Formats: sequence, structure tokens, C-alpha cells
Amino acid sequence: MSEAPAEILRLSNLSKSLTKSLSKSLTKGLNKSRESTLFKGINLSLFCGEGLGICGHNGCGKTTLLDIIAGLQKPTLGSVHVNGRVGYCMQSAGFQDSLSFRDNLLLEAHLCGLHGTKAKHEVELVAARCDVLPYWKMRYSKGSSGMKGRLNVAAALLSSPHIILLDEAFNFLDEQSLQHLRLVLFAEKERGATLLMVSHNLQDFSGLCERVLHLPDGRIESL
Amino acid sequence: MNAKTALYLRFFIPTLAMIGTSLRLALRYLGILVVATLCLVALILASLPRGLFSSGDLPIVSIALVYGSEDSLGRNLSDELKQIEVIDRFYFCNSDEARSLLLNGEVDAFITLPDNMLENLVSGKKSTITVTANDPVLGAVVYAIVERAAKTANSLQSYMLAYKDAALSYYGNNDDAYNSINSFAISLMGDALSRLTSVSATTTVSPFYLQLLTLLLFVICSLAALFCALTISRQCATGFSRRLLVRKISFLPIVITQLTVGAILSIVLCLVCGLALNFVDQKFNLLAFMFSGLLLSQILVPLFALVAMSKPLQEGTNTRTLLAVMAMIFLLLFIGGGFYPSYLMQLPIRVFNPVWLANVLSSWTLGASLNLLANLSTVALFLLPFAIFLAGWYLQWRLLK
Repeated sequence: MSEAPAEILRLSNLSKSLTKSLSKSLTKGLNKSRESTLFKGINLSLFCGEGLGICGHNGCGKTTLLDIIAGLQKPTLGSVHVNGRVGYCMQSAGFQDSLSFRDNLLLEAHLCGLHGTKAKHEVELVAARCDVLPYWKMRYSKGSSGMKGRLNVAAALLSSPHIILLDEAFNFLDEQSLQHLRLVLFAEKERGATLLMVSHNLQDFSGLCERVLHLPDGRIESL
Repeated sequence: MNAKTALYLRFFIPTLAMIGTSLRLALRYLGILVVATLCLVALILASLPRGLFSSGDLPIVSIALVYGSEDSLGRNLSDELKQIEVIDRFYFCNSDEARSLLLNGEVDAFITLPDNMLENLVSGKKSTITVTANDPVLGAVVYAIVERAAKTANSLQSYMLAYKDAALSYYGNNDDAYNSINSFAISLMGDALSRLTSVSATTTVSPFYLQLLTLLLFVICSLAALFCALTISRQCATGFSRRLLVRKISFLPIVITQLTVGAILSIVLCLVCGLALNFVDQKFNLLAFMFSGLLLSQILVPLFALVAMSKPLQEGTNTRTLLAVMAMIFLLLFIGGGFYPSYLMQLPIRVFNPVWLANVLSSWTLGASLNLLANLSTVALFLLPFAIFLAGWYLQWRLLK
């Protein structure tokens, strides 16, 4: 009898509202509500090896949802339960311009709690998988957008996370790099990692995600 | 090296890189910098009034003399004091008038002589002369004048007593003897006061030099704090701080490491400048200068970091805001007594100045007021953990709200 897959992520009745500043509320009239709702009542469970795509129009809260899952923002209502390590490939990469690609990955490894030869080994392994090694010693500021995108994904894969959050990670990638990274992510999924992808292009989800979450209404569709 | 140390060390790199970038920019615009510096020097030299440092390096002061009785000594003293080059205006008044003159900014200090000063001089008793000033540098100048007068009077008092014995034995114990003693005392005091024009030779460090030191110290520490605050702001603007939060790492390491960077930068810069200044003046207190730099940078880094974080996504705005804050503090320092142009010295505006700030900064660079330094260090060390906590909490709150 096969073992039931472990639940990695559970969102219960998740809602997020943004509060307008007092000055804006005053100019638009006090009668109007000071809060604008991004999304509300999202219920979701994700298990090991599952993939979920998130799509929606600009400003509907896709990145905010990933931020909430990663613990960067607090939800207005509801709860998030994450069971495992999170790897987050953010839109604003946050790498140090003055460091090389290698040093940026090493710094990320230090942040993950890896050190010494173990960190170097892990960093080289991930870099080789994501095809970052060719420009290994280049300063981050000198790299192209595609190179930076690959580094961003590589950083998210460090320390074998249980859940990988990808926020428009395939932007700026050429076709060859795109296919390469899709294969890498597929391998991660096969390992048992859960994928959460944000993209405007539904084709990005094919082969990696079984379901798609539409925001802001929270509707879930099977692919 | 463990991961934590490596992580902290990594925070140093952006600051150092930012210093490197600034130096590269400075080299690129070296010509403009040289011209700007020359203009600034010309401006400073042009605006410095001729009379400001007419007697050595001492600024000109206005003083009031408080002496209870209008006797011959009082008149003689006021006549002699009017002759002294470093004294611009002189008032002979009672203590209430002197106090109101000081509060209105018409005098820089007042000297109170005891009512029985002449009697004390003749009888060989010591007199206490007090100097009241609301300004540390000018107060020091007036004190130097009085100290010089007192020393001269002391050395002449033995002659005075010998003359008194001789006069009493010659005239006998009658009015003629005392008249003769009094006139001799007055001529001795006059002689003592006439030597006060060389008072500048007795000051160990010139006030102008001190004011420049204060300014230099502040520039050093402000630059160190500016670099650190911009690094913090940059880390937040580029999203690096979000990476820390994802990895469940608190912001305190950023603040602590930037405080450390600020401390190291200010100590190194103070050491370099201090060693250079030591060639100029051997009595210069290098340790006090470095310690002042350390304290000042530790106060300025969290302050500037909070200012820089007010608009974390606009780096240009941050730099401008921080420069504006620096300019504001310089202005306070300028008006408050760190650097005196003569026309400000003559205005009653100095009454409303943040004298405390000038006092503290001058005392730091003077290295003289160790008690004040000790008290301030205690307060700073007590407040520092709160400042660090507040800065860390604020940074985290900004991103999590």
C-alpha cells in the first residue's frame, strides 16, 4: 500500500486587503472605505510533488499571495500553514551588485545556514544545474537579465526546499534557457518539491502544474 | 570561519563597494572638486573678518566687569581692560546688569571681582575671581585672560607685602602709609593688566583650531554614517532585506554590522586625521578625538538609517534627504558655536543658539571636559541597545506592514 503524500501547504480562508493612506481617504471622502480588497476566502491544500499555477490581471495580488506564503507579509484574515523549507524566486532579486554570481549564491547559502565546503559544494551543484557556471566569476551588475533570472532560480533551489515559489521566473529567458529551467524544475518536482508559479502566460504552467488558481476570485481549475 | 561570521562579513562589502564607487566618482570629477574646494577656501577666507583673529588666534570678546565699589582700583581696572586688544567692548556694572547683558548677547562673559579685592591684595589674602559665560570657547578665552591677570597679581603680591612692611616702618601706622600702599597696589595691578595683551601665548590650543576640529570630526562621522545608512537603504531597496526575511533572519544583524562598519570607519578616519593633526599640535588629544568619533558615529548611524528608510525605494531621494539632514546639523553647528563668523558673534541671535550642542561638541574635541564625556558615554551606551532595537524593528515593520 503506497503512503499518502504529505500536505506541504494549507491556506484557510485567506484574505488580503490594502489600507489606503489617511491623506488619500480624506481627499476621496471619508464615507468611502479606507480598505481595498485584493483577494478573499482562498482555501487551498498542496501536497508533495504538486504544482500550482497562479494567474490574474496586474495588481490582483499574485505576488502578495506568494509574499504571504513566504512570510514577508501578513494576511488580513485567515491562516497559512507551511510544512517545510521555502525557496522563493522573487521578482526583485535582491542580489548584491558588487559581488560575483558565485559570491551571491554563496551568500544565499550562508543565509540558508550552509557553510564551509558543504556550502561551496551545494552552490556549485545548483549553479551547474541552472547553467550559471559559464559566468560564475562575473560581477552581478555586469550580467544580462537572462543570466540574473537563472541565478534567481538557482538561489531558490539552494538547500533543497520543500516548496518552491516562482514569481514570473521565466521572464527575460531565451527559449533554450527556458526549456532548460523547465527541465530542472520538473526534476525538482519529481524529487517531491511543490511548485507555486506566478505567470501571465498559461503555457508556462504546462507540464509543471496540475491546477491553476485564478485571482482575485480564488477559482481553481485543472489543467 | 562559521556561517554567522561569514554572513556578517558579507555585509561589509556593500559599504566598502560604495566607498570605492564614491572614490571613483571623486576621481572622475576631480577637476570640479578642485575648483569647488578652491572656491570654498576663497569664500571662507573672504568672509573671515580681519578683526576676528587680530590678537594671535583669539577671537575678540566683549566682557562686563562686576566690581562692587567704585574705588580707584575699579576705575583703574576698567581703564586697563579697555586697553586690551582682544576685548572689543567693555562694561563696568553690577551683577544684575551684567547678567542681563549676557542674556541679551551684548557681552560674551562677565568677570566678577570681590568687593574687598584691594584690601585682600594689601593684606596678602587670596581673592576669588569668577568668570560667567554661556559659550565654551569664548568662556575659555576670558578665563585665560583672568588667569593670566591672577597669576601676575599673585607674583606681584609678595612685592606688595614687602612694600607694605617698608611703608609702615617708614610712615608709621597712619593714613599716609595706607595711601602710599594703595597707590602702589593700583600701579602693580595696572602693570599686571598691561601684560594681558600677550595672553594668546598662554592658550595651549587656539579656538579657531578647535572649531575646525569640531567640524572635521562631524564631517568624518557624518560621512561614515552616510555610507552605512545608504547601505542599509540600498539593501532594503534592492530586495536583499526580503531575502533575509524569507530565510527567517532578523534585521538586527544588518543594523549591528553597519554600526560596526560606522565605528571602524570613523575610528580609522579619526586616527588618520588625528595623526596628521598631531604634527601640528603635540598636545592634541588623539584618544579623545577617536572616542568622540566612535560615539558620534554610533548615534548618527541609526539616526541616518531611519531617515534613509523613510523612502526606501528611491535611492536618489535618500541621498538627498540625508545630505539635507547633514546640512541642517552643520547649520546648527555653525550658528550654535562650532564655527564663528564675526557678524554672528555680534548678533543677539546667539542667545537662541543650541549652546548645548556646541558645548558638547567643543568639549569632545577639547578633550578637556572628561566628566561631560563620561556622562555622555554612559547615556549613549545606555541608549544604544534601544537605538539598535528601534532601527531593526522599524526596518522590519516597514517591510512586513
